[in-house]
Amino acid sequence: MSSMSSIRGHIRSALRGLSTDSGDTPVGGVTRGNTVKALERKVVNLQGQVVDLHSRILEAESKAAAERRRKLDSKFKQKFKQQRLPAWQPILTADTVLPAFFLIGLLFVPLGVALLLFSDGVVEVQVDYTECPSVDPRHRDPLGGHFLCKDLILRPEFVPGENFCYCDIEFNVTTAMENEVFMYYGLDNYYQNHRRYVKSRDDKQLAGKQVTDVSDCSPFDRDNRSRIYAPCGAIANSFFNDSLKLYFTDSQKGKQEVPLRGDNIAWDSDKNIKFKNPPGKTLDDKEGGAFENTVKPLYWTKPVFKLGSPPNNTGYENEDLIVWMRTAAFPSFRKLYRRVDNSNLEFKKGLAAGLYTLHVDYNYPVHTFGGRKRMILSTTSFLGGKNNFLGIAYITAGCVCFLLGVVFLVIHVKFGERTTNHLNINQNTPYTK
Amino acid sequence: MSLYQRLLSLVGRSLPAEQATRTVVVNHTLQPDNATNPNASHPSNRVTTTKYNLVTFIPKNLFEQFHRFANIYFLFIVLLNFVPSINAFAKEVAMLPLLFVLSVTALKDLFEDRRRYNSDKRVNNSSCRVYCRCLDDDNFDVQKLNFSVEISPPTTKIYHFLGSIPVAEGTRRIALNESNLLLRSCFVKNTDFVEGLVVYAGSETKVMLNSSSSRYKRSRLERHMNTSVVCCVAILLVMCFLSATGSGVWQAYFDKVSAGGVVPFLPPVMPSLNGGGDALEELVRGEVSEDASPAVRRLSTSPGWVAFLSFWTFVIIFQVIIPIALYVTIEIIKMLQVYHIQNDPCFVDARNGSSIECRAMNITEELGQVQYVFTDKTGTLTENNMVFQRCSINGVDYEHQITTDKLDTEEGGENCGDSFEINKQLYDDLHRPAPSGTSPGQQQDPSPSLMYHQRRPLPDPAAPDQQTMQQQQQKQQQEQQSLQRHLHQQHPEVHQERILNFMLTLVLCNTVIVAKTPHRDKPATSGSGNPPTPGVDDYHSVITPSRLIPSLRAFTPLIRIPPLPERPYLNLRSLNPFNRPLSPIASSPTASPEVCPKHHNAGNTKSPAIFMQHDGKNPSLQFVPATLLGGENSAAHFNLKDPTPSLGSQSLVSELGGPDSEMSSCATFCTDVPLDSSLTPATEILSFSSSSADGPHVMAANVSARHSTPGKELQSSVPAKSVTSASNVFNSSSLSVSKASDDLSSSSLSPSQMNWAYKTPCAAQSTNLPLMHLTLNPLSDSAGDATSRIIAPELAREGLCNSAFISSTSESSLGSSRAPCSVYGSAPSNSSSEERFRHETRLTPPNTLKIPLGRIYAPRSPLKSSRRTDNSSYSSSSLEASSVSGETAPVPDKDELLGVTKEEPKPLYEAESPDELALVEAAFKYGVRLLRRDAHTALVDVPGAGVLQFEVLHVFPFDSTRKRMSVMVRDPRTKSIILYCKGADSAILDNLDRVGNQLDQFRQFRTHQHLYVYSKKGLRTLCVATRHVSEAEYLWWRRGHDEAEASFADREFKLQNSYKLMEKSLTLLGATGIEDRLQPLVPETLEALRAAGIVVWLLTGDKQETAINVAHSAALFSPTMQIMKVNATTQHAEETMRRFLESCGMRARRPRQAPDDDDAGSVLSVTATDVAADNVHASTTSMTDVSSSLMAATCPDAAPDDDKERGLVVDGKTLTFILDRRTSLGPLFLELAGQCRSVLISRATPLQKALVVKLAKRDLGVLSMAVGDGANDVSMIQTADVGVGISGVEGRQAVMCSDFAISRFCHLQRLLLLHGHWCHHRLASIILYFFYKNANLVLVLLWYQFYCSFTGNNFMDQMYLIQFSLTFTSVPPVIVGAYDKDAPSSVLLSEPHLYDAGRLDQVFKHSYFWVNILDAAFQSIVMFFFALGAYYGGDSGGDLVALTVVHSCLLGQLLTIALEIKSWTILHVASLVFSLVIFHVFSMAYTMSCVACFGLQSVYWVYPHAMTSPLHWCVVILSSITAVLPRFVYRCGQTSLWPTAVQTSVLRYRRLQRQRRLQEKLAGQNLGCRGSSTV
Repeated sequence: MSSMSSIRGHIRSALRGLSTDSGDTPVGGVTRGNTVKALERKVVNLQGQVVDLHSRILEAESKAAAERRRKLDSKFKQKFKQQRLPAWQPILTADTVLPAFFLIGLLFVPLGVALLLFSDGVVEVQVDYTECPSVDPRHRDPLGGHFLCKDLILRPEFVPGENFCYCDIEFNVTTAMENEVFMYYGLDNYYQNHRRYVKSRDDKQLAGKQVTDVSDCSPFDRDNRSRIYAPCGAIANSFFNDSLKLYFTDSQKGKQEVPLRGDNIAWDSDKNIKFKNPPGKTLDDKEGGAFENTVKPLYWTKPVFKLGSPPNNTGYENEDLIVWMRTAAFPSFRKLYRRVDNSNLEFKKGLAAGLYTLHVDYNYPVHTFGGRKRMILSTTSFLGGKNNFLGIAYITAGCVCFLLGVVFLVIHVKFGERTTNHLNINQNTPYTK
Repeated sequence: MSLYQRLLSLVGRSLPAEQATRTVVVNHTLQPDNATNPNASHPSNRVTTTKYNLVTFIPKNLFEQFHRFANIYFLFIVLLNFVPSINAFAKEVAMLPLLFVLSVTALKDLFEDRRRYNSDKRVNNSSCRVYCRCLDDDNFDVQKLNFSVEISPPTTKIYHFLGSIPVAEGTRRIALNESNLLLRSCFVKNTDFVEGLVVYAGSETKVMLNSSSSRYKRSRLERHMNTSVVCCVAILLVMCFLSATGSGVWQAYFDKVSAGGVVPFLPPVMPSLNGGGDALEELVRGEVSEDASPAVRRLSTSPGWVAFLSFWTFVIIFQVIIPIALYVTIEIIKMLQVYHIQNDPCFVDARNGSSIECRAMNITEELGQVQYVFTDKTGTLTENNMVFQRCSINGVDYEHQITTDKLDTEEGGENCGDSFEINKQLYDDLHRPAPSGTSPGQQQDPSPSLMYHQRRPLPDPAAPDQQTMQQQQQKQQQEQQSLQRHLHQQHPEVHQERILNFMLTLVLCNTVIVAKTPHRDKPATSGSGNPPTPGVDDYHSVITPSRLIPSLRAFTPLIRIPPLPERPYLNLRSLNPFNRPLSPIASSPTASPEVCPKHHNAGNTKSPAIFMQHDGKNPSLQFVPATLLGGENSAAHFNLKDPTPSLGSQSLVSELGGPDSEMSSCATFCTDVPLDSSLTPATEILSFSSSSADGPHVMAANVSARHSTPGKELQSSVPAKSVTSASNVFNSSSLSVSKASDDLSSSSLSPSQMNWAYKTPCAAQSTNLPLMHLTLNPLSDSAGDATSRIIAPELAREGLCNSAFISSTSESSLGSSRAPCSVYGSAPSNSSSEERFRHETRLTPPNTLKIPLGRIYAPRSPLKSSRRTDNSSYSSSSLEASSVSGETAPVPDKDELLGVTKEEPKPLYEAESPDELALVEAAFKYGVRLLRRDAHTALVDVPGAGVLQFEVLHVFPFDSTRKRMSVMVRDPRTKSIILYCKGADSAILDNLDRVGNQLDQFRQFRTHQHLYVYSKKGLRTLCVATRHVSEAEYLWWRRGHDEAEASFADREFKLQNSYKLMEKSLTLLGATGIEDRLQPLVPETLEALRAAGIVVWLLTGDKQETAINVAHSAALFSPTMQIMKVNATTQHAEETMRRFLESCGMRARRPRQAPDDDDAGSVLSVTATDVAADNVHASTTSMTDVSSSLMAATCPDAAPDDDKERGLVVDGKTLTFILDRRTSLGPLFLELAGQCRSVLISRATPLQKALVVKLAKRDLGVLSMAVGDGANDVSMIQTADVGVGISGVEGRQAVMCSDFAISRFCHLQRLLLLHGHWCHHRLASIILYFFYKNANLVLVLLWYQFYCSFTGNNFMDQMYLIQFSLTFTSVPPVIVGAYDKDAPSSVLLSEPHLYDAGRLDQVFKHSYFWVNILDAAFQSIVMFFFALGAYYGGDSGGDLVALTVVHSCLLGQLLTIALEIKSWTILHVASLVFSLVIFHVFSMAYTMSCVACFGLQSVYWVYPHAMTSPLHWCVVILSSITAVLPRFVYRCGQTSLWPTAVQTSVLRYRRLQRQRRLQEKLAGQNLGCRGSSTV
């Protein structure tokens, strides 16, 4: 550009020279004819120069274009280096953010309503059996009542796993539970997220790897003969060991057991990869067995390879264990226990409304630390279980946004003028009251 | 420095004195590698600045890094994690952040150390190149040298060195001082070889000692940040304490509800293998064995113990709230900021392509908070390109036109940008032929006829009523002028002598080194102390104008003239056999300038004869237009013919005196021609001038001789043919000049000729004596005859006309341009205050000199507004005169005047300071040419005297306390000892000889006036004085001086005293005014800085008036400003000053109150003298009683309008009193200064500069920036918070110690207002964001503790927890911190007031920290409890919930930073996208591949489950959006209702942009076809 302007300057000065020369010459006292000739010569000369300069301009322009092209390549780099990248500068004034608020409100409120509807569609039945009385006639108390299982299991004669104490709880299902019905056990005030508890496990062991160092499981790592607990750690040790059975009392058929399936209650990923039985000829603790040199956890009544049903649901791969080992986030939680078997014709459509009986083999002590135990029957929705919180939260948030939108609308209408006034004020604006 | 020493110095104790001195022995006398070698204890010269080597890197770097508190803290956390009962993280993972930080820092250190290593390698390999060849020299047998040197131990003081060489068995010592020391990394210029002894080597050299201590600067923002970090620590402790309490409470609850207080399924009583064991160990391990004692068991479950343990666990978990990553992030951000600042093309200096240099990496944001700028003047605001502009010699002012354009380029001359045209009058005054009998004929100029001339009516008919007044004024003015005229015309030879002495001072009293060509080292040719014998090839390098002077050695002795004690000041100018009576006025160049260039142009085509005609014609045809010349050749020829035949007759030639001088100048000019291209014409001219006029005579002879003689020896550009032809022609001339030329060519002048030449000036001198009494009557009986008298008054009359008469006649206008009154060269009708007051001074009769002093220079503040225009009109007035005359007559052409000086190629001068260079070059132009100088001699070409060799006896170097420099030389002409002194006016004027002579007093007074005028014009002034020292006095002084030099203790003090002994009773010669122009855009920059609210203090060593003027022209002081001056000369002024300060301060404080008249009045009455009088008073005894109190303290006039900005002016002397702790004036001063927008401190020493900065920094508590370019600014730059060095001509000391080095002052505007603002804003918002970010995450963890029984569970997977700040959210802050712009550059630059944001700390307030923490708390509540609400009681595992919370935290934090981004670029988007992507990629990779890695609980496949879960998304979306709502609302509301200044400006800018775009669109629609491709 500069070269071109300089060339233009040349032309200009040349033309100026032409005009001044013509003006000056007569003063010199040279004859007129000579002057004219000289002038003509000069004009021709200058015209030639101008043509020449024009071609030079064209040349320079093409050069500049090439330069521009070349520069374009490194343009981004240059702009980056010099912090001149194209930028968008949003300024959050009332008028610009108004749509955002209304938009959020418009999205959230319906979503919240939908979530509430989903939640409403879920049928859930909870049975708290923490304080269920033992149905065992041996456990009759002198006053004619039954002792509670929670107390019985604390007795010295209690032998876990031997069906020492069991109870039956009858409950009504008022709405039919359609489609898939899941049975959960729920624990309250149970701190599965205690720092030391939650760390007390060994995932390598559970993944079927040969482990020698199970210090993470401490103090439930080895017994006093230095055998490794299988599985080790406090979580495994405190494996939920109540067994729950459900009976449906039909008016025609009488009491019949609801078929429950214990498979497919854990994540496939856990079942297939995270929890694997160690390699071995047999699934036992005999020599060459998968659980050689291990011992059952302290609180367990049977070794891990006797859990569940072989071959796929035993050992570390037992889904109940897998579900238990996925520690809960909060002290109140539920864990999937069984699914109602849909293959059974009787319960193909889920659970009908009616009287149900929960049969509990009561082993698991929770009341010592103030915990509760529940059995939960629930259908699921798109979002899982029954939970109104999200729906309400969405609706509230949406309403708040809508409200804010209205507020900003007011601000915009009332104070928008003021903002523009602000804009017109700069440091030179005289101060007036 | 060993660690031990460092520790000691930290403690504050001084280092154990090594010993008072150390001894260095000449190395060759010693056994090599001998342990007994006394030098063995000194370090070798190998420099190692590296901190590490391969082996020590890791341990040493770790050691260094763990000096940082943050790292220690994190190490502590990591170690805590190794305690089993406490550990919250897996040990390996817990170390990750620390390792990351350590390794990033280590990498950075490694990189830096590698750079140091490379530079060391360069230094060690290259710079120690010692030529030992000289050792073989016959004269210098190094083996014979056997001595040791005692030196002081190494110090960091660069200008301090003491040592001695014991000689003669220690009975005598040769003293050594800093001038004997060559510092490392100095460049030795123009020196063939140096023989020396290494006294300090390697790490002990001063430069290494100084460079080793680079201090770590902590920015104000960082200090704020650290306060916030402390708050974070407090928050952390509170959180830990609360959680620990909760933990204890929970434990107590379980104690109550459960048997034995056991946590469910975690019974403490476990069968244990190893039986017993240490109870404490078990406790700590968290496992209490069965057989543990009951006490231990109880303790293990006791709430207190549990709480105690969990406290430490919480310290580990909540550590994130201390933003460790912040430190690393900030370092990276600053690196990026620096990178982009350095890449800003606007900082590139077009002159040399140099750009900004950020030397300090860690204080970029300080640029955005600068409150006070302390700036140097010279070289910082100004170009430091000194151009000699004015000088006052002997009371006569000579002004010079500055030429800025590079007209020299095609002339083949210098290529410097600025130059000046030589003052013809000064030139003539200096070069006037020796006054002979005819000279007084000229001195009748203020004759009655002249007075009559003055009474002519003014040409301006528009103002007839003013005529009488003006006439009166003019009459007075004429009297004044006449007196002034006498200064140099009553005693032209005295005047001439003084001019010569003046010039000699300029030439001798400096540190200039002469080099003909750039120096080439020639170690082989070096001698051993003998003055170098100029060999053939030495001519170019050693002896400067070598091609002009045949052989200096042969030449110089001949110059030594038998001393003439009675007339010591006679110079060789008096060789002139021709009596030339003309005054300088008469030597008007008129037509000659036009003619000479003509030669130049046409020289190749026209015959020599025509040239002669042209030249000859000039005298009579003074105003022939150039265009006519061609047509009137014959006439010219005819005219010439008249004088030419009568050359022999002196009387006739004297008639042509004026023209003669022209011819001489012309001739000298034209001698340039052969040097260029056209050879023949010049020789003809030479022949002409030498044959036609005897006047130009020696000059011409010299010239031609110089041309002729070197022809034999030089292979220079002068072809031998032309030279010989020149000499032929020359020799053929019949006059004595030819004889001289012969003599010259044989390198000798005949003594007889000299003697003959001397006689006439002696006579003239004697006849001149009566003129001392200001008689105007010329002595006609001297050599002047009738013709000369006819011409001289005529010309003189013209000369005295001022520009008011310009239009009357062309003659007078021409004359006026050369007239002495053109010194002030302005019309009396000019009504500006400056002019008027100058008239006053002119009008003041000599006998009333003392009385009106105070009145004369009394600039009143109302006049200040018009000052600048005055100045411009003033400076251009003489220009106007000449341009007016140019209408009728040719303007004196630059070519001609330059030509006078360009007779010889200029030697290359190199000086320490540009002032000296300017002065030496100025003298050079006037023919006083420094040819060569070494330690003991100086060779000066003196006009008329030829080349003189001065013996330099002593040099008293310049220092900032004496503020002057002196040389003591022995004049070769008279053998007398002369002291030439040059320095600041205060330093000189106080030491002047008290003169009783009225004329001398008048001269001094004139010089004062000139000094004042110069400094008013913003010129740098220097005074020049001299003193004759008698032999006896010298011998007496010498003894004491030698003693002082040899002394070891107090040497400096003794030397100072010794100098002072000599530098007294000086005779004032004159003063110089050097212009140092402002750098481009300096006023605009200062204006912008002031508009930005930055207080600018100008600290300069210059004179107050100079500084004030520069301050005005640099817009430091605005015209509307009230300027307060505080000048005190003695300490007794304290009380007065206090009152003054109090009154001013009070007035400033209470703006609406009427000024306290009594108080102010008393102050003013005492101190009503103005600064202008200060200089005068300082030297006159009569006024000392006044000066003993406060000299001048001009409180702002009782201004009711106190909204005005104020400027304060203080001089260095006053500052000493103020800074003196005993006076306790400091706070008052600061209070006053704090109310001023600009403060100017003149005459400040480097130390004072630093002190002022320190005072302001400490007592005002402001963020200071110092800008300087020279070594004298170093301490100031180092003291300030931000030091900016300007890489100018003054060397690189300032740059080396600065934090930022720029090449132009105007870059400061962009650096501060734009980059500073940006950097500060970015960093401040990022730091706030970081606090928010970390608190957010930690608070989520805290809320979780309520649901995990305060056991210190992490909730989130540890990898996530660590990666979260390390990778997920680390990039956006860096990008925003480096690239966000809260306002576009154009807005920030055009609205400097936006700088307030940083200056007033509006971006990072401490309350904002808490607001951010609150926001973080809200967000964490939303994020955690929404997840809680959604998942509580559900069947989702903890890891999935945790992932959900992490996800919403991430989104929330990214949304938050998105709200903070003010300008979105692709980088911002990319960083946010990167964050999201890295989160998902990491999660995918981590959860899908890792079953049980890093000893962590597996989160296998959690991520896919979460991502496919609608609940997860519902929670994430809801909580992240809800979380940022408050911030969003706040930002919107704030922008809408209370926008900040920046936002307002940006909004306005964008609206304007939109309008413009709309208009363009409309215009485009309207015009349709008009292409948008036009650039």
